Amino acid sequence: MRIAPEIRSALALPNRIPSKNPVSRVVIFLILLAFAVLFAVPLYVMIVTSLKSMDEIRMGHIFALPVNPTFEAWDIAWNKASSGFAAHGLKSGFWNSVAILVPSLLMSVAVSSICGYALAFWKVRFGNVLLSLLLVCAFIPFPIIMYPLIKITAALKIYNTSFGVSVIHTILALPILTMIFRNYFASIPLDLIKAARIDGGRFLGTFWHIILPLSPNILIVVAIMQITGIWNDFLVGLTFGNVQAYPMTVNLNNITQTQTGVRVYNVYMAAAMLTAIPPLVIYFLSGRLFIRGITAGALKG
Amino acid sequence: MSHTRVRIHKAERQSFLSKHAATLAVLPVFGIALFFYFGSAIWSIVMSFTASKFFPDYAFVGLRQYSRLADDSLWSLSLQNLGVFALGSLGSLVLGFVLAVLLDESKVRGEGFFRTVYLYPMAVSLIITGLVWQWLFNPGLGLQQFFRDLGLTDFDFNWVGDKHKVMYAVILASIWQSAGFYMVLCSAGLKGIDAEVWQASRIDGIPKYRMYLEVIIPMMSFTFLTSFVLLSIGAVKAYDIIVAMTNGGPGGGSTLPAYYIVDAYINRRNIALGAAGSTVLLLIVAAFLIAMPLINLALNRRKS
Amino acid sequence: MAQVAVQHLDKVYQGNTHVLKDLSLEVASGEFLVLLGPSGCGKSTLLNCIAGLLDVEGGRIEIGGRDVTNADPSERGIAMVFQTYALYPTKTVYGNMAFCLRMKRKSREYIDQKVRETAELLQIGDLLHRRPATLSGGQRQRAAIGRALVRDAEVCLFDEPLSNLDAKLRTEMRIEIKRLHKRLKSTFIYVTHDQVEAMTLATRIAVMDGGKFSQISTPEELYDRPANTFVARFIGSPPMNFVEGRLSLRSGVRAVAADGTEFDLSAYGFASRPQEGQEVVLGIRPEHFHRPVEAAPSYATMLNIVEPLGSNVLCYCSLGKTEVVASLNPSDLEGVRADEELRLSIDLAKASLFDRATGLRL
Repeated sequence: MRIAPEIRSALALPNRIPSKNPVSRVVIFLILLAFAVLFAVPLYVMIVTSLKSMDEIRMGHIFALPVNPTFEAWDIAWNKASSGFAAHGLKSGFWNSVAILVPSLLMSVAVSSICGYALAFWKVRFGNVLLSLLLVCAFIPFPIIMYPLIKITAALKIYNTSFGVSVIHTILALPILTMIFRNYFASIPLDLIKAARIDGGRFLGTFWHIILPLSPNILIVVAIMQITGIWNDFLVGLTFGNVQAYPMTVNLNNITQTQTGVRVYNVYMAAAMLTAIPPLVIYFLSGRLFIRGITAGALKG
Repeated sequence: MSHTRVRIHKAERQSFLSKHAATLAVLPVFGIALFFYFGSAIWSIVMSFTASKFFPDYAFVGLRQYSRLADDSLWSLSLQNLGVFALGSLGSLVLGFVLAVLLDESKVRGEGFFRTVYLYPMAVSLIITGLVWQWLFNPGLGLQQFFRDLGLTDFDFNWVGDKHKVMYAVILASIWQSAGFYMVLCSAGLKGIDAEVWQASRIDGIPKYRMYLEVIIPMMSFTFLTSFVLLSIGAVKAYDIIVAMTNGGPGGGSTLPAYYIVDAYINRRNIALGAAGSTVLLLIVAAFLIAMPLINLALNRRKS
Repeated sequence: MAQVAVQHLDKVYQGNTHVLKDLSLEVASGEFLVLLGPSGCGKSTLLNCIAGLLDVEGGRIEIGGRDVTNADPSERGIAMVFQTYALYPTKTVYGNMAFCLRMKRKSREYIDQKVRETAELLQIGDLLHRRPATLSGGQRQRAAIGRALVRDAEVCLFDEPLSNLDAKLRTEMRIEIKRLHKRLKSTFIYVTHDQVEAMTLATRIAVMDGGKFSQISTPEELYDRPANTFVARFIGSPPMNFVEGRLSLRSGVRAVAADGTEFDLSAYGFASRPQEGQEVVLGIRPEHFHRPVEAAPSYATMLNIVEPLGSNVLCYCSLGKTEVVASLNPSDLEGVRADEELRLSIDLAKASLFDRATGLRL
């Protein structure tokens, strides 16, 4: 008879006794703190630089706090920054990112969840073949399939549109998402499905009424994974979008890479902050679910 | 008479849909995988044997593109850089493992705080990572100046401007970005280790470092294997960070194969060359994917 | 000098969960002491404290005469066998057993000889180069015991080592452990919740309840003269029957149940003076019921259910208003069927009498 978890926690048998030696505990804490500072440095620099004036920046004290913190650079970044084509700022890029994100999220989750559901519970011929296929697909590097995708989207007249970008994001996400959903659904007791079928439920009915309500966790995890991945994407947005449809990341890169004019680091950093804030907010709010999201994508290998 | 026939038809139609509903659900993904992934890969491979430039040209020219690649010093440099980058990326795993161990050992209050800090770079786009680190590496206004102001007047941290050192700068940025992720993986691996194994080691009087070396790390071999695979995939796919940080320069010092290929497609408008590069990349990935399970098998055979 | 001595031990968990309360125990050298009790009684906690895997908040622990209360587990002269074996999975059986000796910087020859000797003792000599994952449960347990024994410790601790084995293996390994104890003559401290294991293995059993010792005694003593109702209920299968009643001192000592049934306690060995009207609980073991012989006093019971077990029969009867279980020979039941009257006599000299309020033996 194993010690039941509740009893074990009541007895508080520790998973591991931490080092008794107080000196070593302090040392470990200091090392962890040092690394925390190192990790925080780039974010700190980003924020601080974005709030300074260019004169201050030119003095070269990168870690110094701004003397007169101002959001002027942020304003320029959002509204007026020049990205080489036009001086529209990041504003349009933000909305483009949103316009790309929503369809991608809906399409990729819808298609992959139903497919994963079918593979998990229903006898599909070649189902296992498909799963192996998807596993291989997940490893195929993007540049290899890039050009044919360009041709196809051009033929479908969605090349150079934000919808085209969404379609590509969906295609790129399907292998991994399908595998994730399939593995999650496979852990739901088979008896539930059998009971549903006896009760007369059919394919879509069972999915909608029984499976989905059991899946809020995985849906949130997948959503976080997709939102972060799509928002932060650059290459797909660059390749398949155009000036009107570029996501925020592409705008950001264009702003910072302009060869003409003075380098305005505070604007660049403000622009970077603006682009980083949405996923960072999601990150700080979702905590553990975020971790599950990124590891879910990784552990299918 | 016709009434009944209609009714039967309807029933039949319904059962066809429902009978094949699962297959229909799977078909789109199946189709996409076959067509967009495999079909595209095959198309690219075929294209690599042609003389296509801006437009596909289906004239077969044999291995000409590959010899062009081999002759292009930038391509060989990119492959070399890929090797350096892949090796350097191991730093993410090492740092992640160290952080996971430290967190596990310390049971410090605020463990959640530390994890949040180590992991947040993952939430941020690689473009931003590249941008910020480029800024940090700025010779006159960034870290180099900071250290010089502290008194180390000859401190050289201008790696981004140096063809031979730029790859290290990229590696550093990449480690910052992904170490938190590998910390999470290693923490999960560490938590899976039975508490009683640790207790047995305390009774046996095994020093901690020995435990890690001889017992814990071997027990985590699955975690490490997964990490190797993910690190390699990440190295192969690396594009965004190069664009934002160095644009492949200086002098090709930070060009990676993915960057070269996209550049071939978009800027140099040479489809066949890009396709050839892609095919080589595919071969590298394939070789890796075949090697991994073989290594895993060999390791397992040793176990029994 | 006791081999292991625990004095006034206190263990408190997060907040105020007082898991062990002022425990004191002495284990002589060469003893096989079993800590027995239900889940949560604190027996594993006590073992872990003795091992040094848990800190104590009060009291003292001595092993071999040394004060080890604050010593590291590896410096207490103990070895331990875990419930889940806790073998190092990536090492061979040989590697597992040699690991500790290697850390002590023993010579290769010494290690080799020691490992092989111990392996022979446990009959796993030909498994030395296998890894734990390839072994059966019983083999793993032997390897775990081997890893503990190779250290030549004077005290060996066992934390429910047989709980993860199936019934047949458990019986085999029980005999194995008893054999080892006889051979090695070292001190064993063994934790289990299974009273059969405790009764068959121990030289002494310490029954624990809620962080305190209920009774510490030999198996026979615990069985024949349980010190309180807790021990009486815990030990023995099927469990002891209990009848509640009052003492009457009018003509000799008698226990009178609520339904009027009287039990003559003149043969019972009272430890303290019986009081008139004292509320008591009378404990009768199933095997102390017999078919009446000659003119012996007997009770009329209604036989409800019969469970034949082959060597004996369990009879569930109603004795007045109390349900009791009697264990009889199959031949004793000749001519009697369920739902008929069954006359039984009781060997009350062997019964146990407890005060109803305190549960203590009278």
